[in-house]
Formats: sequence, structure tokens, C-alpha cells
Amino acid sequence: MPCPHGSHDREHNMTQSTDLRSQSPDPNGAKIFGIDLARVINDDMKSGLPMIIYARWVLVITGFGLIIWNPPDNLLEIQISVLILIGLAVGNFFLQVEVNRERPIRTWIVYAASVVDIVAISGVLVLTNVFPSSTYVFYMPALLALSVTFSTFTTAKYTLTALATYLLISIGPINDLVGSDPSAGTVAATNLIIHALILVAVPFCGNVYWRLEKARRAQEIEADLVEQQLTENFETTSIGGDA
Amino acid sequence: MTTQTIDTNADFLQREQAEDIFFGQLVINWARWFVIAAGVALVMILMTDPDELAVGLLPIVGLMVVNFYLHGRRLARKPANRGLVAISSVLDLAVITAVIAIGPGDAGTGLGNQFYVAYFPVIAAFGFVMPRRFTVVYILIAMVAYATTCLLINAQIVGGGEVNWNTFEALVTRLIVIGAVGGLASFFWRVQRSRRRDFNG
Repeated sequence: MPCPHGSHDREHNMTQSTDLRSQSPDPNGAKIFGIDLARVINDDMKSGLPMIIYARWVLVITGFGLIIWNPPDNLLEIQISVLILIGLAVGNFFLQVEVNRERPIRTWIVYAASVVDIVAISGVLVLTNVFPSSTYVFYMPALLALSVTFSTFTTAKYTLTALATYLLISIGPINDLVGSDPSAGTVAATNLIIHALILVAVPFCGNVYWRLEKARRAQEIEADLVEQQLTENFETTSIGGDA
Repeated sequence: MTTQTIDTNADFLQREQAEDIFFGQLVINWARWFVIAAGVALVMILMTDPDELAVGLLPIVGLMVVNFYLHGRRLARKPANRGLVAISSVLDLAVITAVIAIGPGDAGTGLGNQFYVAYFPVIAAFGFVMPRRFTVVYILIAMVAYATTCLLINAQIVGGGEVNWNTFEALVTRLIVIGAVGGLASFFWRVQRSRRRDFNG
């Protein structure tokens, strides 16, 4: 007899989640609401990976568009920027194909891809050597994407790395700016503080959302497990009563 | 039977949307705290005249009051409804655009004002919480507000019928990334919604 309101599917999903629990225990034994965290984290990464890929396509397409539309005066800057963008495009194409073919992607590749994003954006910032640079904004989609893919600790590591890199890169052009106009120092320092705050704000908000969604799913799984247990208890009691 | 199924589905959708607002508004509150921090930094460092400083702090204090109220309600588990969240988010855009247009102290106005970066956390947070159609409208409002402000204030972008491509490029880049950040947040909102629906069958 078919189950109304998709309760069969629900049961199937519940069974699946229970199976996952027993199949792959967490090496540290860390479990929340009876859920295998290792598996949940892996699923989170899987659902966040398209974000990383789309964020990188934004970077590649916009980067190429800007270079073609308004090429910089420095030939070396164009050559290196194009090489970086081609590298990103090839790597992203590989990831996109693997995701579309639903083939498993090694975790370290996803981590490395995000490092490459930050390095690429920082590389272009070093090349342009201007403060404030419009290239800075490309950190935003990249950090937002990784903040909803990785755990809080990993997101914090990436964010702090990006922040430290950006601050270091900015020192040179700000020094040049102050050298030519000493009154510009305060404005440049204020702009740097605002940039730094927002560089932290975007991944912070992304990760707060990631944690909220994780808690929501955990509550739903917990509720389903309780419901399942109650149903089983009720059935056992009924059978016992009939006997 | 069919009517019952449709009603159940409508109830589920309504509950899901209400939960999205209930849980998600915390992200909007956090984004607003960062905007307030950036605003305080901008006004406190760059304003030297006491009267100007007092006036400059007014919109920031206003945002703080709004956020204390909304964040406090969320912590007391009495969160704001969708209308209130939407109104407060539009207020965020208005304050950010006003700061860009006025340019406190030596911060510069229009394209030269770096406070435009405050759009990013606000738009990302909105995209995480609201349905796609609302997010699209919100992103468009932000883009139009920023582009109009820059084009009206910065005569150098389109000066004397000639376009300055360097400044115009900066404007276009910022607008593209504003759209991209909102789009990515909205995409992830959909991903999370389908994950929950898959689980619930």
C-alpha cells in the first residue's frame, strides 16, 4: 500500500541517516544529536562546492572582461593577469566537470582550490600596487563561498590568511600615497580599517548562516529519530497487547 | 483528499518561510553590526569638527538602536516578522548610500568613498534569508542606488559627454560583484532549502 504524504520516503531517509551513523563512525567519537559529524561535514562541503565554483567563474569572467575592455598600461601586468585567469579557468573547468558527472572530489582539492583563489586575487593586487584597488572586491565572493562550505575553524583560518595578506599588500601602496601626500595617511588608514572589517564580516555572516542551517537539519533529524522510536514502541506495545 | 494535500503543502511552505526568517535574521543582525562598526570607524577617525561628528554619528546611532531592538528580540526568541526585517534591511541600504553620497570628513564622496564595501555583508545576509524574488529586488535597489549616487556625484565618470573608462570600470566592477555576492547567497539559500526538502521527503 502506498504511503500517503510521502511518509515512505521519509522513512527511507530516516533509515538512511541511521545507516550512515553506523557505517562511518566519527574518528573522535564526536556526535551531535546522534549524527555522524564526519558525514555531515562532508555533505556540507558537497553542497557548498558549487558556490566555490560559481564564485570563481565570476572572478574569471569579470577578470577577462575587464582586461579586454580596459587593458592596463603595463604589458607584464596584462600577461601575468591573463595567465592567472587561464589557470583559474582550467582548474575550475575540471571541478565543474567532476561535479556535473557526480564524481567524488578529494577534500584537499577543494581546500587547495580556495587557497588558489585567495592567492590569485592577492597576486593581482600586488601587480596593480594601488590602494584602494577595485580588485579587493573579488575577495568577497571567494570568502563568502568558502564560508558556507568549510567548518568555522577552517573558514577562520582562510579569512585570517586573506586578511593578513591584504594588509601586507596594502602597506606598499599606502606608503607611496603618504609619501606623495602626507595628509592622505589618515584617510588611507580609515579605508584600510573599513576594508579589513568587511573582509571579516562577509565570511563571518556566511558561516553564521552555515551553522544555523546545520543546527536546523540536526533538529529535524533528531525529531525524526524520536518519531521513529515512538512509532516502533507503539507498534511493539500494540503487538504485545494483542498477544 | 487532493485539497487536503494542497493545504498541507501550503502549510509546509508557510512554515518553512517563517522558519527561514526566524533562524536567518541573526545573520542580518550580525551583518548590520559590522556595518555599524565600519561606520563608527569612518566617522570617528575622519571627522574633526565636534558639531559635524555629532551629526555624523546620528545615522550610525539610529542603526544601532534598530539593531539592538531586532537582535534583542531574536535573543528573546521573539524575532521580527518578514516585513520588519525587509524594512530594516532597506534602511541599511539607505544609510550606506547616504554615507557614500555625503562622505563624512575627508572620506570622499561617490566613487571615491570606500564605504561601498558595506553593501556586501548586508546583501549577502539578505540573500541568505529571503526568497529569491525579494533578493533580486533588493540587489537591484542597491545597484541602482549606488550607480545613481556615483553618476550624480562623480562628474569625472561622464564629464562633458566623454566617459572616463578607468573610473567607469571601477564602478562596473563593484556593481558586478555586488550582484554576484547577492546571487551566490540566494543560490545557497536554495541549496539549503532543497537539502531540507530532500530530507523531509
